[in-house]
Amino acid sequence: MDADGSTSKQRNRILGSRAEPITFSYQEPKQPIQESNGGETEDQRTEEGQNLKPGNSESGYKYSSSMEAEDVSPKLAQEAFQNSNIICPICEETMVSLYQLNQHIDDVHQSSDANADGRDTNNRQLSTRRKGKEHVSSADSKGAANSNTRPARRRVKLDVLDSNRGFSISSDTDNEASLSDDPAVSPRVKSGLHLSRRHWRQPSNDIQCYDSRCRRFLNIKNGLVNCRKCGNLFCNIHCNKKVRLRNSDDNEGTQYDNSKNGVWARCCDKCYFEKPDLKLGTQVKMNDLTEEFMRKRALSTDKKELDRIKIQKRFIKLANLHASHYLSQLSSNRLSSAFLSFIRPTDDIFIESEKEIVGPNNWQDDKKITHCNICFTQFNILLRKHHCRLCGRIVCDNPLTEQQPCSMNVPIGSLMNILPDLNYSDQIIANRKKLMEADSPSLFLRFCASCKDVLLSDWKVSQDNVKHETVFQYYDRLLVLKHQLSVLKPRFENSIAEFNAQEANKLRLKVMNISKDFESQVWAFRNTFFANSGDRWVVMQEYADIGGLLQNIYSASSFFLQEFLLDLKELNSKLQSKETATVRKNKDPASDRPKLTKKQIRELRDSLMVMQEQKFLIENTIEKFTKLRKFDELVPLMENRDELDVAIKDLEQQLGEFGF
Amino acid sequence: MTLDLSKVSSTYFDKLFVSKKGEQGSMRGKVLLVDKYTTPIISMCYTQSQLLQQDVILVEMIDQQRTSNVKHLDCVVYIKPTKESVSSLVRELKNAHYSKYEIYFNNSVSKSQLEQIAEADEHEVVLQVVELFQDYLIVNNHFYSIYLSGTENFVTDETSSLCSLLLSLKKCPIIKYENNSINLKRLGSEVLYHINSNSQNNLFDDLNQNSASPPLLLLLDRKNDPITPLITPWTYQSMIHELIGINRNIVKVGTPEESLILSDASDAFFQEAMYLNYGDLTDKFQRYVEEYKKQTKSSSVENLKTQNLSELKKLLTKFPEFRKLSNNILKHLNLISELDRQVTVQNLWEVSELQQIIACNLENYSSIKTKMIELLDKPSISTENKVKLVLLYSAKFIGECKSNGDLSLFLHKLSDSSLSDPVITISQSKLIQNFNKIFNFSSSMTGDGNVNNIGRFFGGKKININLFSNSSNANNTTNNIYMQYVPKLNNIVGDIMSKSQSHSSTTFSTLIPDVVSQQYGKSIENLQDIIIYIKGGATYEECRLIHDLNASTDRFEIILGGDDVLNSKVWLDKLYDQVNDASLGSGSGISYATSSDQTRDLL
Repeated sequence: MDADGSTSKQRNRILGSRAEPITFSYQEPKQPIQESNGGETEDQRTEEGQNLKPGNSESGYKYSSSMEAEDVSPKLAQEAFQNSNIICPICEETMVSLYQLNQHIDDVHQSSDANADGRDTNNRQLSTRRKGKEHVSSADSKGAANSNTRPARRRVKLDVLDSNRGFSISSDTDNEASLSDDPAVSPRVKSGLHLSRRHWRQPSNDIQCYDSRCRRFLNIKNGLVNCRKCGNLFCNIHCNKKVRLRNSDDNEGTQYDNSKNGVWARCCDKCYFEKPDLKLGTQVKMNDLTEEFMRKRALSTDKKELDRIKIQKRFIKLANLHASHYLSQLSSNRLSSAFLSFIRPTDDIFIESEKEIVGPNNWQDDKKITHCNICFTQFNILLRKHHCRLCGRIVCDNPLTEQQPCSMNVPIGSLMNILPDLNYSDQIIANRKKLMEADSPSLFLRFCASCKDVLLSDWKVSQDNVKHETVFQYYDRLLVLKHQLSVLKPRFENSIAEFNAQEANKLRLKVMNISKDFESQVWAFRNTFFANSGDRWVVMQEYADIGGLLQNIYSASSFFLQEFLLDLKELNSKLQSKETATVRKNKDPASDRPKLTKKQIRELRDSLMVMQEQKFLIENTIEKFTKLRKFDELVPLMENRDELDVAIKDLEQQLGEFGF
Repeated sequence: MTLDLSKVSSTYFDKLFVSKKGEQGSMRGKVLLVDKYTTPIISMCYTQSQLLQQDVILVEMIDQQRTSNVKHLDCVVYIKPTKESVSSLVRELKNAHYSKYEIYFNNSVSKSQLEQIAEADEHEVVLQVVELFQDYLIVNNHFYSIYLSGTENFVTDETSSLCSLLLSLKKCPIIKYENNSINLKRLGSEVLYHINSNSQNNLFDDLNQNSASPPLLLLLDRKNDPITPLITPWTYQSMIHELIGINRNIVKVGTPEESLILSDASDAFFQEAMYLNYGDLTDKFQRYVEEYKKQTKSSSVENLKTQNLSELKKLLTKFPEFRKLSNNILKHLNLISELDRQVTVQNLWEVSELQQIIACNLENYSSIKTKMIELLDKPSISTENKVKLVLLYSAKFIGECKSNGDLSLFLHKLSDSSLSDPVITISQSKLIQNFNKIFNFSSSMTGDGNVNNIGRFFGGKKININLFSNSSNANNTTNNIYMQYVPKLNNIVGDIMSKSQSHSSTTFSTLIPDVVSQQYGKSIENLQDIIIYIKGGATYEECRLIHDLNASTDRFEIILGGDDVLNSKVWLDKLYDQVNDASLGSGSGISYATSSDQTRDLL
């Protein structure tokens, strides 16, 4: 402890007097600390870095002191000389020789202070600095005789300096220089953040470069560099990459940091290639907007849903109104209905109630509207105004508009046919059939195009093209089979890989069957939709409009089939070779035979039973013959029995545990 | 690999077409609706059989009128969020023909467009809406090309395409541009604005969180290196483009014309051979053919007879593979023989040698001049090749051309019908006379006049960088007279990689987006990912160069692209247009962009 304390004091003194321009002398090695002491705390280390950092930017930092040299006891100096680990007191780089240390300090620390920056946003930094201060003052109070207050005072001043500096631009030059400079000198981490060195491997004699491709012995010539990330020792060549690092949260090691707070530090190839961006490889961006889209759609569909309900209701009311009128007419005077319909003042009767249904406010005034609400054509004598009975807007009925006319007269009956499930009045439901077949002009209503679309939208969506039905029946079947195959195939592969012969055989059968099915479906598909002309299959005339579709389905299926069969064959041969291999293997050690399928067991048992029966019979005859003393007949019988014995034994072996 | 474009295309393919496991949707066929922008993107990245494998049984244009409802099919929509395409989509959704829709955009879509589509989706048929970012074509895995169609809003289109590239790779870059180009300045600040403005739903935030240094978007202008496209290349892919022409990975060859697809993803031989020089290529091809022969010999019909049934069966299963292989061989045989024919017809050995000599300063002025005159006197050499030589010569010997009147001598020879057939056109002679002026003019305009710009293309060679002297391209150059010239791009990228400030400090301006400076502070060091964009078009030769650079270092990742893939013909056409425009217009201040616009329309 005592020795420790004095060393740290010494360092403090040195630091304090750095402004004095004294050249570096060979006494330096007194200062290096023995790493092996282990008594040093992290605080001390960081403190060092802190102290050095703010240096005098004009003069640079000259590291030496004659004053200190006087104070150093010869004992200490000797100790340091004996010490095989020479460490730079500033950055704690391990040095091999004094000369190297000398050069290291000249190269690295002389210029670095100029670039030192006070990136002290890091709270930890501040706190460690404070700790450092405390430590120093305690060291001072412990009172080595020659210690003075200068170091502490200075440090306070430096703190102020630091905070004044704020953020500054760091340049890479000093790191860069040290990378290419003296091979034995590794770059000093920028002093703003001091990277932890706890994870560093300590050099020993005969240490090899950690890189598996290199493995050369490390020395001054090759370099002796710790990777700042993993801490292993490397030669110069295999530790010349750079990554951004910071201390890990437990301060035990370092971790990648990609923000501006990260410190560029030397690392080995492995750590370089493990940095997050290289490890992840190319990242491809996609932006899923579905949620936002759904939200927006929900907003508009709610409104539209309301609209649709409103229009549906109006339609029901209109239908009820007109149907009841029609029906009452029909029942009251069947005979004169045709006559009456001429004189009946249709418009007058209905318009009022129709207005009522739409709502008088929605019913547009003829006088105010001069242009069609949909196509914006101006009305004239030829272009009549019409009220849409569902929304009350005034539209034209110009049949010359491009897409569909702005309004049309729609028979209620056919609409009821299309929309059978609406909540019509009982009267309508009872007379539906009659209404649908009716052809009275009073059962026609004028709707504008947009209302008609809204009314019929559900129906439209449900409509499908019947013509394609057969095509898709085939296609769906193909897809189902394809799906089954693609599910089964990996299972099959797995079972082969896992030596599960029983499972594999079962799957093989299944796969073969399905693929046969698939094949026959493909042929059937081809035969239904394609005609054979010469050596080529051409889509039949009646399906010409979906020719491309058919062609694609066919080629997709046959392509899949081809590929699949190829794969299947390969798998089968793999299975076979594996099976023969296992059979061969099993002949020697009988214990590990292939598993038998149930069917096989049954068959074997059957044959065993037959054999045993025969043996029994033969033994009986043998007994009989011995009693009768027909010895000449006994010989073939005995032979027979022996053969049967062999066969039975064989079978029993095969059956193994499944025997009787 | 942090900048792997093939990864982009495969990821997007999976997203677009491969249905997620366990979904019932995998049991249905699919229709793909595309627009005119996404058609080339799809066709360059994916093959028909790839699509068929994923049950995509119908590909249609979205603006087509469809009459029949096919509710048995699901629909994948992949469009660029343009006004027309979105309104087509709206029409389609209002009148849904398929049962379910998945909508993908190849660039970021605006809020109002999304709203428009949401409103149109009355029947609630849309399952998902996803933005992918591929508003560019992937040529190779490190070579992209931006496809610009309209001439209006030129810079905006270019910017959004470049941004889609950046987004697709998840890169938010710092931007460097050559500051003697006004167009680059506009483009650069436009990209910067695009990144900085929040109109993009903060898409650019947090993109760099995994990388220690920001990527670099390097904007270059073709007019700073007008020489490279003029020099005859001698590597496979470049030669195909130069002598036959590659249009979106499709080569048309032979009579009757046959379309061949060149893709390094699906063609192993091409992948290995695309960067080989002509000599190595023919060797490689021979080996390839021999290997094929060896394989097929055992399975030839005569042999089959002698073998037993099981082996016959084995061989028969291999037949499809053999057929694929033989098709591939036939394809490359076609290409190589066509290249060979062109090389002899055009006397390319001779022409190219002189090109290299001029461009790389291998001989002195007087001997080059005699060689020039010798070649110009040969009627067997095409006029176009002669023009290229004269252009090179005039760029190289500016002073000498002026003082000795070399150009007028050459022009005289070129217009002599006994020496050149056909004689040069007016625009060609105009170009020869103005070649120096065009490129002088552009640099003096930005106050960079004291730099002898043309000379620099060549001068750069001498200061060439140590970094790659051992790389593979150097191996070629050492003894191959036809491969001496190295594009200027090498110097530029080399400067950036080695951080030597020899050129870059004077010629580049840097723009740093807010997001980047927030993350990394003001100092940018230890660059790793470099995305190069050459306005005016890149060449396959430069693509090869980048490939070599990528292979020679594991510290950098570079990808290259341009708004066109140039060969000498395309480039000359652009130049003709430019001189014609210049003489038509005021004669000064011709905008490079507008002229290249028009040529792009022609192409």
